[in-house]
Amino acid sequence: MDAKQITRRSLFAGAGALSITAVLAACAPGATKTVYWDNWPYYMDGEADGSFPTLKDFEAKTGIHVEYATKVDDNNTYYASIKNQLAAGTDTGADTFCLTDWMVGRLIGDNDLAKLDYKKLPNVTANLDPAFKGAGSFGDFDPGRAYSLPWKGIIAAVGYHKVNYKALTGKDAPATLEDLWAPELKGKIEVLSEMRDTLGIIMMANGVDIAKFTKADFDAALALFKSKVDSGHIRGVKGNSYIDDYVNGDAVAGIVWAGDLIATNTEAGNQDLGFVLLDTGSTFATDNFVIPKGAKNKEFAEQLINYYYDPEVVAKSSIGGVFYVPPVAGVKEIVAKTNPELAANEMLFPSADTYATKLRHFRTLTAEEDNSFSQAWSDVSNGVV
Amino acid sequence: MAFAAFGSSAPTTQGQTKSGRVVLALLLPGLIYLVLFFVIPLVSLVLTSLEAPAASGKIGEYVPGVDFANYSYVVTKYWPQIARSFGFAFLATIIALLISYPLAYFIGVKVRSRPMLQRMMVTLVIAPFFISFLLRTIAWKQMLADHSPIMEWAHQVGLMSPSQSFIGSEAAVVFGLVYNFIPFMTLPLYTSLERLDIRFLEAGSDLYASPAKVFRKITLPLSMPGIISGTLLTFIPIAGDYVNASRDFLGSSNTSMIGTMVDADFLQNRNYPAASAMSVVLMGIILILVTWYVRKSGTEDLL
Repeated sequence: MDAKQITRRSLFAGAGALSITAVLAACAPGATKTVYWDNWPYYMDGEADGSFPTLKDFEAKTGIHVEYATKVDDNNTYYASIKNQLAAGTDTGADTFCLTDWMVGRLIGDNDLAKLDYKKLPNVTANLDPAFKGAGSFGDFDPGRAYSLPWKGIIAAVGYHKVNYKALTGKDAPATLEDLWAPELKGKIEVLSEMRDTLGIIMMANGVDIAKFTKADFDAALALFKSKVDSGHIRGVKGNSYIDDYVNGDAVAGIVWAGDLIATNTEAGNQDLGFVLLDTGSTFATDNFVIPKGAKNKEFAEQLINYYYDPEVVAKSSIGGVFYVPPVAGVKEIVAKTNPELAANEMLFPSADTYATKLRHFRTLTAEEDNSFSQAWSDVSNGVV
Repeated sequence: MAFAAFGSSAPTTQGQTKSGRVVLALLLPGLIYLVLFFVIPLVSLVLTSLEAPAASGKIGEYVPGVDFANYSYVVTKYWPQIARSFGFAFLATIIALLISYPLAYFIGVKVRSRPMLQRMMVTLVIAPFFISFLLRTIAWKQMLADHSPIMEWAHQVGLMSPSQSFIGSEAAVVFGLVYNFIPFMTLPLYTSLERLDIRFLEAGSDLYASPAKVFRKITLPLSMPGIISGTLLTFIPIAGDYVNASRDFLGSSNTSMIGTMVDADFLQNRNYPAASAMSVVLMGIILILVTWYVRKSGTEDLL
């Protein structure tokens, strides 16, 4: 996820959280057991009303207080806020945080992360969905999952507003990426500012396997993307404000994150927004728990991670409104007992067939590629020639 | 200036030394503040702007150096965004001045006889500050969406063709800049017009000057301090603004300004030297323009 939002409120919230942390540390060292967890917004059950049922259960069960903060609204800005502490190996203020796979890959490469102790993670050993294990699947940035464990999987593919799409094109739903480039949709298309999702989907539509693409493949996809941006066919390249545009009609179709659409439909109580897993392939990424080297409460963090690998707990949070793919086996079956409709949703619980045929993970880039591809992507997104 | 004041070479007497110490003590908090939050960051910014890429080639790794290539890199690469920033800043400042002047004149001169109304109007000018700058900008994004009532109306009366979007255009960004910075123009204008002695205007018309001439010869020169500070207070922050032009607010890929590129280089590309060089370039251009402007308008005393 590359949700980019700068708000003064969140700045103040950050400052407030910092001072509270300082006060706690000053007056009660070791008196209460606390674990600090930074995560993305809209990623926890009960977040809207502050009830946090699964977190409260964890606290009751273990006696460890969780200081849960939605401080991560963008991989890059979050990284920038802790990079000096990471480099020095000191406490960043969080014992664990969840970042997207490619960023975790960079952190591993920079030797910023602590190795996970699997002795403390029996639930992970028992329940981690094999698709997420690493090497050759959705975890090639961390072979064997030595440093990171998935929190949620994120599917990106083509989203559209059912009524507006039909009104403009006369068709019910887009079937291919090519459909988005129909002239009637000019200025009504928005794509994600996350390079790996947008270019990944374009590359796959070009017939390229994104698990092993070359620079030429990347350049071809980027050239197509650039032509659509320059001509104004793509109206916006956005992080997280894009959903509003589908609701108010500025955007009619584009590349989106499935979880956002499910949440928007659920909130609005309708099914206005539709979602298509392209036959050519959709991207699948993960946000992952990591523990920085300087973490003060590594063991508590591991207890917390272990807790979120209990299928009962994860099922509760999925039903509670976290509409992203859980990496824990057995969740679907538990959800099916109380909410069969949700359990049948392919975007939340992809079938083995979907994993095998439709979902692909953007391969990890070499240092040199990471540099030049990121730069090229940012230049096109910002209209730099 | 402060240093010159107590560091003068005039023969010092006991009393002067004592008061010098008091002055120094009073200045100390301010000086420490300036050193901590201005001098040190500025030096660090300049040093970062001279760093060179590390041999590892990893993203975000740089070594200290004296690499002026960062400057030529940002200027040759981002000159369209630099030009756009100053073009937008110039345009938005002029529009803000044209809107603010009559408004400030009305509040400061016309309703002077009714202080209650005057105070209320000043409050209204400041009122938008009670709501976050970002929230207001997002609100405009919604109000000016393609199918919003305002845009439906604009399509009907033919102001815009239905296939055109306002959000994402250069006009939308300039609109947002004008809207967000207009109080910074209105308030200084108001304070200088509020002190305008109406008797001068009366004398002018008694001497058979036309209203236009009275304005040109009396009102305008007397409100010059307000115009200068108003234009500076709007132009400088607008040139560095990165919210309005952002793709998540009123802009699109085709409206990037200097701030957008600093953001992209610093956060996404982790090219800290380029982002720093860009910031130094922005500061440099503003400094040159402002110095020239203040000299030209002959109001050095103001600063």
